[in-house]
Amino acid sequence: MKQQIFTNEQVDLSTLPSADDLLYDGLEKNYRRLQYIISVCVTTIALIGMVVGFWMLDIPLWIALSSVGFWIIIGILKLVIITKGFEHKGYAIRTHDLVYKTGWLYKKQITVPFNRIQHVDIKQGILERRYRLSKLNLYTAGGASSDLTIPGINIEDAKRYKSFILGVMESDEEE
Amino acid sequence: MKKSSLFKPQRQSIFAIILILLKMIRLLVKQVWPVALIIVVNGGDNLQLYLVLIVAAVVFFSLTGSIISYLKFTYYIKGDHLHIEKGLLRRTTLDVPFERIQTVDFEQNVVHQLFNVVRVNIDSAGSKGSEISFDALEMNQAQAIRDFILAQKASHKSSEDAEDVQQAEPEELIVHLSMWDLVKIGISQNHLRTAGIIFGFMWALMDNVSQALDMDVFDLLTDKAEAFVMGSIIMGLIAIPVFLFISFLYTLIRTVLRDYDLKFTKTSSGFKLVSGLLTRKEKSAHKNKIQIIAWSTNPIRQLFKMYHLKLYQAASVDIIGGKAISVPGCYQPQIDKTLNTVFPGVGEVVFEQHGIHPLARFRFILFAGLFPCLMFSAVALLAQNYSLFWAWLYFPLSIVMGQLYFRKRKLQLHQDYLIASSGIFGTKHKMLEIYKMQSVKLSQSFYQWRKDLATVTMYTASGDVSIPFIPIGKAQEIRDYLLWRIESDRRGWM
Repeated sequence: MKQQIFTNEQVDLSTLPSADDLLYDGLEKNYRRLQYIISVCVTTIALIGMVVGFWMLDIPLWIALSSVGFWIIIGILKLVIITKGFEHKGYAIRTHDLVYKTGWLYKKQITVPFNRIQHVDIKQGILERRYRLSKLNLYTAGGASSDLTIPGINIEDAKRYKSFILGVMESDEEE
Repeated sequence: MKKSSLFKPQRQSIFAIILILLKMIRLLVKQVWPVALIIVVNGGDNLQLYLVLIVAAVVFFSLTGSIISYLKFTYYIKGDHLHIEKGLLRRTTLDVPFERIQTVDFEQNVVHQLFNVVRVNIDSAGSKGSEISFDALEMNQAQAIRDFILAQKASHKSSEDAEDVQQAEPEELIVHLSMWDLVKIGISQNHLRTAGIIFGFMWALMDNVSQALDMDVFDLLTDKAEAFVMGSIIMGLIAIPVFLFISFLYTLIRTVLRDYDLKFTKTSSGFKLVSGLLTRKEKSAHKNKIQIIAWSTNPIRQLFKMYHLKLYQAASVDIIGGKAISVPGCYQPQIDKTLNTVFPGVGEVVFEQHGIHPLARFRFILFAGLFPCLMFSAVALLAQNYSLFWAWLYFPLSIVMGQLYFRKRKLQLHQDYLIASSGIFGTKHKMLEIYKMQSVKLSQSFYQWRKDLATVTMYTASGDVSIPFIPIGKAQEIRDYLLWRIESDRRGWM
């Protein structure tokens, strides 16, 4: 139990495996498409609701036009954020951990070692099912803030990753 | 100790009825008092009759309730489970496996002490609301249960660990607070926070009263206050010392109630904390379950060379704070002793120091100093109230604060341990063992990204520790080292 194989060795920091030069797998293109669709639908419904409301309440034209314009700009911005965000999302699986990076303006890179994972599950919503997408969730004991969710993975891939991770976790326990 | 009695269904101590009764009365009174207040204020002919009725109802409901819930609560040990059946209207059956039980804590208020019974709180890992409590168990019964559970837990682990447990090291008292220590703690509490608590309490009280009486106490008060606007400065000058005195008195009483006769002991498996005047609480922590040790001080406490020590155990997120062992008055040798117990040999190790980038100071002054001052100036210009320009007096202070923040925020790294420090006027250190980390995050705001800086966040099973404004290259190196240590270590983190 208490072997500390590496503890007393002199460590050459430059030889440590680095999590920088990784080839990240991007998320499924369908994930971006789904986000586009959802975002366009939400904006459209909101705009229709707004136009109907303005028409019924007899709001002055310039207020109506400027608020519709404002929401159209917000909608376009949302599309830009989805596009840019998608480019920056990606994950990589290494022998001992999984790395997920995200963020266009606020960048994050989270690494979860397999020997700290409590359990793994796959979630799939109704819309996601239509595009064969799923979310892979990795839970650690670090609480909600350190749990990792990778969205937009093909369901078959997610299942493969899950069984791979479970395999590593099991072999870890046997040692 | 009749051990056999643990294995068949049984009730709590008969005194539990009294304790449940008191709990219920307290609960009912909390619900009922606004109604009672309305009746008293509105008066009427039948005032006395109503009051008698209310009191009778409260007594009747709580008495029958407590007797039934006492009769309906049974527990026993069934295999490797603790089996509990309870419930007035809805029967609940609980089966708690011993291996899931994290802590067994005792608590005694005045009534408990009178009858020599204890309240037992059992926390099992995992989901929310996993806390089970017994209102009152006889002292020896409670100890028998705790010993049994701990023994069962130990035998579940590998034989190696069980030997560890049996090699009972002698208990050793680390901290014992004297009355003078309590006074020092009382003086050096955060009085601004106390002010918040007092204010919040008064506000809630007034809100309750004004709802109950259907009149606005706030309006009444502000009406009165407006009459004194001219003398407000003088009032302030009087109010500040008066307020400080009240706050000091309040914190002193609170400190004495909570920390009276506090004993922080090293036990064979970890630590134990017993404290309290009216309510004696006992908390324990297993050495392996401690994930973070934090010690902090503030300017006044620094004068006494005192620190506030906290040991954080692995727990479900919503109760991490409650499970922490907190010793408010600790001197340096006692902290060293605690650290050495949890991290053997840590006294001799040398840490590598990593400061944060000087741009952090600039950002601090910008966001905490310049922007608020500019905002006040803008308001001053708009409202034509030029006295708001006095806010600029705060600007030099913010520069000093920025400098302090920059100097105190640092990371100390050793091959096995890590200390993150922070603070402006006070200082706080958090120490943890690297292999106990759960995951590591690097993050960069747009500004940090442009300046090639990053924040490193380290997650553990009892909260996270982070260090901002580290040059990206160094941050990556730290991340790679931490991950390598986590992944190559075969020890369990708990």
